[in-house]
Amino acid sequence: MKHKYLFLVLLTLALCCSSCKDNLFDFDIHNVEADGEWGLPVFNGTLTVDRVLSHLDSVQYVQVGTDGTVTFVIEEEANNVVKLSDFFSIPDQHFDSVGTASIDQLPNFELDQVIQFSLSNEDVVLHGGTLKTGIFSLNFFIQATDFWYTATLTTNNILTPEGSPLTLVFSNSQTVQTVDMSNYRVSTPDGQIVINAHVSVQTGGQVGQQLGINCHVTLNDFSIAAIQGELIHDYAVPNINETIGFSMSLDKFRFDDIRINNARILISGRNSLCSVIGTINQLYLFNQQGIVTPLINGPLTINAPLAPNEFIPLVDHTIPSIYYDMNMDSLKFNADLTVKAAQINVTENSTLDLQIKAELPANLCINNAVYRDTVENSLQDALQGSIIESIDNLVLRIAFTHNFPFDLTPHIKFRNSTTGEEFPLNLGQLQIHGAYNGIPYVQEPFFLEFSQADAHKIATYDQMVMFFTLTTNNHDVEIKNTQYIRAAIGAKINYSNITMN
Amino acid sequence: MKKLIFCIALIAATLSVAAQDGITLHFMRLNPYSTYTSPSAHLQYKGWVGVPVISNINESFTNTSFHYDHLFGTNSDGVITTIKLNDFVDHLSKKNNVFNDNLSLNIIDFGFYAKPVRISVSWRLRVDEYMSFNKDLFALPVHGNMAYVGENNPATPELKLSLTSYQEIGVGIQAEIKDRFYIGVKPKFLLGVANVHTKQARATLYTDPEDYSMKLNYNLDAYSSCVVPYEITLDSNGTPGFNFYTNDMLKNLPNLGKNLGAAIDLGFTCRINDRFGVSASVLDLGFIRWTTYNQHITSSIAGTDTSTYYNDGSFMFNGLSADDVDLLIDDPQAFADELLDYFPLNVEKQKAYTTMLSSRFIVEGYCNLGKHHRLTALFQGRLINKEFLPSFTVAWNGTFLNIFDLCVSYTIAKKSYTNLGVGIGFNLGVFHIYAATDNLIAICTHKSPQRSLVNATNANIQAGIVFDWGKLYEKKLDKDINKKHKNDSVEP
Repeated sequence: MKHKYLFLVLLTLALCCSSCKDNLFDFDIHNVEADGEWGLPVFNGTLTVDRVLSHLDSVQYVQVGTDGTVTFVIEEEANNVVKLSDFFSIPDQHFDSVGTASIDQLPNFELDQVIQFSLSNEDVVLHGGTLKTGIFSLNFFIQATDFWYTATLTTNNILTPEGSPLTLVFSNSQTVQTVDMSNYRVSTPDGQIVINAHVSVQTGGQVGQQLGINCHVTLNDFSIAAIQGELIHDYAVPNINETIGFSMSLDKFRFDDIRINNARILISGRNSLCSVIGTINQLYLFNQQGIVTPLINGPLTINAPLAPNEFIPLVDHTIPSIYYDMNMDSLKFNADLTVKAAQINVTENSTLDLQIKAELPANLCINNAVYRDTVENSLQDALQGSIIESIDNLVLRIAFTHNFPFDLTPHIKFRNSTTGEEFPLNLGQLQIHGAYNGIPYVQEPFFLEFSQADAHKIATYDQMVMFFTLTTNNHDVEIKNTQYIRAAIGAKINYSNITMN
Repeated sequence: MKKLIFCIALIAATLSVAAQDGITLHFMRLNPYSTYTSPSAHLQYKGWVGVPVISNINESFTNTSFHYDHLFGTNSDGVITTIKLNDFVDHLSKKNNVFNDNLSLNIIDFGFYAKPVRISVSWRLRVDEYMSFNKDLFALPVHGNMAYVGENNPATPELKLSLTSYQEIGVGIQAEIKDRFYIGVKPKFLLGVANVHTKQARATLYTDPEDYSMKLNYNLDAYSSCVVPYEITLDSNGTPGFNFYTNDMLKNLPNLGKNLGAAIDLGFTCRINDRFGVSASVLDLGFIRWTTYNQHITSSIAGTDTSTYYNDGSFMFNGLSADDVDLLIDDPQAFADELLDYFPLNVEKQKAYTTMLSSRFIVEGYCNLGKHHRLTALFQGRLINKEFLPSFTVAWNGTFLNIFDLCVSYTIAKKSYTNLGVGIGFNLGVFHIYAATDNLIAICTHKSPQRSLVNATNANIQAGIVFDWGKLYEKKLDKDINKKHKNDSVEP
């Protein structure tokens, strides 16, 4: 009997042990069976013009007034329009002088050498100044044999940086002296430099009745740090034709026809040179395609008095309307300017700088503008694999209210960048009408439905192209930063078995 | 995904299932441990002593929800290839899906008769884990919120969790208080080891049928305690975790005596005659006062009037605002942090709290069929977290030659109708070995017993080895029967 019980016990143990061989939790999961439907509110917010503008790359070009008016402002500086070097410089020059001294004057005698140097502009009378750079070379010798001399050359017209007159000593063995004139001062009340030579002679041989004295002066690389003088006649600056690049990147917009009302052109000047007058002949925006948007209708006269420390208004010009085409990236102006005759007391940094500001208010009429953006189709990754197989149906519910004063027609399509094949999203005949009379436009909820087949298609395209057509429908409208679109977007997703790879 | 499945399986295998303690052993009259569920019952030994640790191992689970075949689809090799969330959710009850586990381990126990009473002493380690949840807890994430739209149809996921581990030291006394009437009392001294207890973990989600906007409320109120120092930590995503300090465990030994509690088992038996009898008992009526390293965990929607998605105590989400779209694009982590601010998890020290034990109530009637056989009908219920889990059992017990104890039972419980129990015991001199289960079918429904077990709603095993000696038969009540069976040794 006991053996029987023992057998039963062993049988039970064997049953338990044999069952342990099974591993119930070996996984190789390919499928998750889950049917359901989620409704999710995705977005519920208000987009104001202010917020949209803040997202533009060109945000620095947007100005919002206290009354909410939006203005695109293009403000660029044209520096060094006129500068000192345009009409004054000291060219390289050379002077030779051969003189004689009578033997009677020995052993000491003095003589003066006068240098009348020339300037680049004969209309400038130089009274004095400080040199920035310059090489002054002087070759002085006396022709004789068995004859020793010492010559001390001094000029009160050239002062060292320390303020003492320039003095050079020559002898039989020292006939050439070169001086770096940086920071030397020149004082030329009559436009001349007078060099006084004091010569001492010791004779050891035959000396003729006359001594030949040679003096050669060379001025090289002279540049001016500051000058005082007088411009005795008006100086006509050569025609100024400047192009200034800027990057108001609105390249996602294409304006076929946009009329901007009451554009304002402001030109200011900072002048540390002399009074300047003249005319702005042309002022316009243009782009790489050569499309031009003029900012002035005709020549503008400017009169820039001395104002060395700040820009002062020179021109305030309003144009009733301009037509803005495409995206502009350059500002060009053409001017003829004249520096007025006057006493001058300027430095090398003295210039006439101009500041040109074009205020383009968002008071406009758009007949056909398109915002177009091509982005990477980020849904492509999201719709791969198990997710796309699981989603049976996706419905977007869109409702919004806005008070934008323009009509907007959205289009979205997916594109294969290699083949050019496109898959337009069916938005129906959705057209968002402008709130021209100030009453917000209310769009009743509408639904966009995507099937799994749509999702499969979308997953094969690598680009998503969004473009919106804008038009003000022949209305002159004003864009204000308080204008808004208030949207509510919800998504309803039906899903079934999730297949896993 | 494998990790997810593993986690679910792990939960199913461990946290799960509580269950009632096994009931089949209750009917095995030769077994000393049958008195654990019937303190007033007669036991026909003069004394017994259990083999330490293995005298009475009782593991039971109830799993009304996480059934393997409802969760997983397998290929011909038995490898899981499909997760059947639809099937799983469809088989859930609207409320009270249960996932319970009870482990009871006798460390030391013995008993003896000291006329006129029977005295028993036991030191047990017990672990009671209980989890219940409603259908919405899983139906919402699986089937989505569109099944719960409108003001009167919110999704209300709810979870109740209670985990209690404690030591139980009890002294039982059974005595005849009057002719045919017996009582049993077993006061028990409890020493808590660890506890996690949710007072409330419930959410309410309303979804607007038109624009799908959502309104969410939830409340989490839970307590935890452990004799080992620990800390509830939050990572950068706000996910909580437990950090136990187990370096110097000896220092924590005194903590084993700090979470004090008390309980009592009460039993009453009335022998109507030698053939019929009725009894009733109440088990584990008691509490534990938790004092060591207590933590109070709370969470509910937070915000101010200026918070975007906060409205009068609710998380109101009708879509991302324009600012948040910008934030999401520019700094996703900052956006996540902002969202998490609405769902703060507060963990604070708690002085002391009290939990009640899961009490059982048993009412039964029996009928002796001759000298060796007894039929019993029993109704029992368990009260857990204010939920009452009833079941009904009929059982037959036969004893043979005073050495072989056999019992067959059938139990019907909520969502569980195929609980055929079997118990068997051998008493070879003083050596007594036994095993019983309430649900034999639980290991027979599939070719593999393991596969059967993971599909079972109820399963349990109770087994052990005990030394018992000295026969002590019930006194006879019916003289006619006594005459008839005067030579019977079991019931003279």
